[in-house]
Amino acid sequence: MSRFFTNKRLIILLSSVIIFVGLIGFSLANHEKVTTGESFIKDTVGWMQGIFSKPAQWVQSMVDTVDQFKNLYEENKRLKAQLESYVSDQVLLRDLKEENQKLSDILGIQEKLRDKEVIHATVIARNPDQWDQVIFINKGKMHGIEQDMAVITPEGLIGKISQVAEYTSKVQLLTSGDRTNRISALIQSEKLLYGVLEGDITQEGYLLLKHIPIDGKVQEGMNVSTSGLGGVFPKGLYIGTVVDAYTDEHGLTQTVTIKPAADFYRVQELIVVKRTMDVPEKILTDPEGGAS
Amino acid sequence: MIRYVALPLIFLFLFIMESVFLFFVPSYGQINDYMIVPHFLFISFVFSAMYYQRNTTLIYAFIFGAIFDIFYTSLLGVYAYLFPLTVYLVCKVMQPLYKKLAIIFVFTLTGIIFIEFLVFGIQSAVGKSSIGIEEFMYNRLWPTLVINIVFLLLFSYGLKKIFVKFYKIEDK
Repeated sequence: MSRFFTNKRLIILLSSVIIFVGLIGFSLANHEKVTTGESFIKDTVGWMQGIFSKPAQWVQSMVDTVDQFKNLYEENKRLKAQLESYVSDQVLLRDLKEENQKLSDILGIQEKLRDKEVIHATVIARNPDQWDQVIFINKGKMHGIEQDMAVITPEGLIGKISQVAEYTSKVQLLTSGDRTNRISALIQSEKLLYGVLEGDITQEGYLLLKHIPIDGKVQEGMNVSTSGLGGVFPKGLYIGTVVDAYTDEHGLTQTVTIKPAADFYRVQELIVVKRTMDVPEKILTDPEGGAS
Repeated sequence: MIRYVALPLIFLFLFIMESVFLFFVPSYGQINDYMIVPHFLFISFVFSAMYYQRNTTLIYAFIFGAIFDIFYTSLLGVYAYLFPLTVYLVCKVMQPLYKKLAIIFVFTLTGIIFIEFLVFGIQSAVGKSSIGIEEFMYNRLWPTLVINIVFLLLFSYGLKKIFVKFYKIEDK
């Protein structure tokens, strides 16, 4: 028995197994909070990553530019066609905005779900062990970034802030299979249809929007955007277009596949969106209202 | 000087390169569902342990594993324990064998498979990933092995040279 305990290697092994299990439990319990030490390491490593990723991204965008030359003509033709409708849309939009503002003034509405502030950021790193679909950006608490803010590109929504250090933060992509990754979204059909994005993706890379009412008429090509009902995201951030709809396995609701508008893997510059409308304290602390 | 400056600098460089490498891969390491996971840091640990000093390397493996955990995965302790453990096991298995490049090559790949499987197990156990073992094998393990074999073919000779040189300088 005494020989058993004097075996140094065995003791090291056993104690490290205990510490290992403890550490995993610790990080699972409060994986959203960042301690000061962690924050320091994150910022330092993030700073170095930023230095190296800048030239890499420059090369990448050069390659992309050359790639784009190939279908420049096609794209030009398509854009010209779009431009014609754009002008009339612009006039209509301004008209509607004015009208909306007037009506809001009459009703005395000051805050809207749509209201937001933006912070621009650059991607500095991506997780090489790709179990988590995350990217890292060069803005943090110091720049006003908070947990659960929406992250978009000019094309559309790509994810939300999942961890914030002082000068860097981590963005969880929509494709992340993590169970905390839930986003309330709506389909702009004749009647607005509300559903929840749960981070599942299909083989083709489409997102799955679940819990759509069974009687809702969903057609291919309809636009999907955030609903702002989760309490964290602003309303009206574009997500993508509907590809297909089918009844889910219980036969009670529909599941809709969505082609995301943003390319999750080619993003370099992105925008963090802060919702300015406040949410009553009660909703935020309610454990059931976890969706964002 | 080597132990405290040159060695950590090499590891740090490869640590950053793992992430930078993904910028050059189409769709950031995911080509049609195939995931490519660079393990350049681990490869350099094995070579350093073989040709330079084992115990120093184990300490650095722990430190860089911990940084990896904190920065990337936020699942503390996974790589901090797996890197030194795997390097140690590879060293133990290699002990009676000649330090031939081809043999180290094979055992490094075995080490990568070992790490990938254990991380897969941990990720499944804590419920962070939902993929099955078959999907893991076909979509993740094979492409990962291929990319690391390419890295080894290109740089193993250079890595060996560097660490042998370190050993010789320290010896004087």
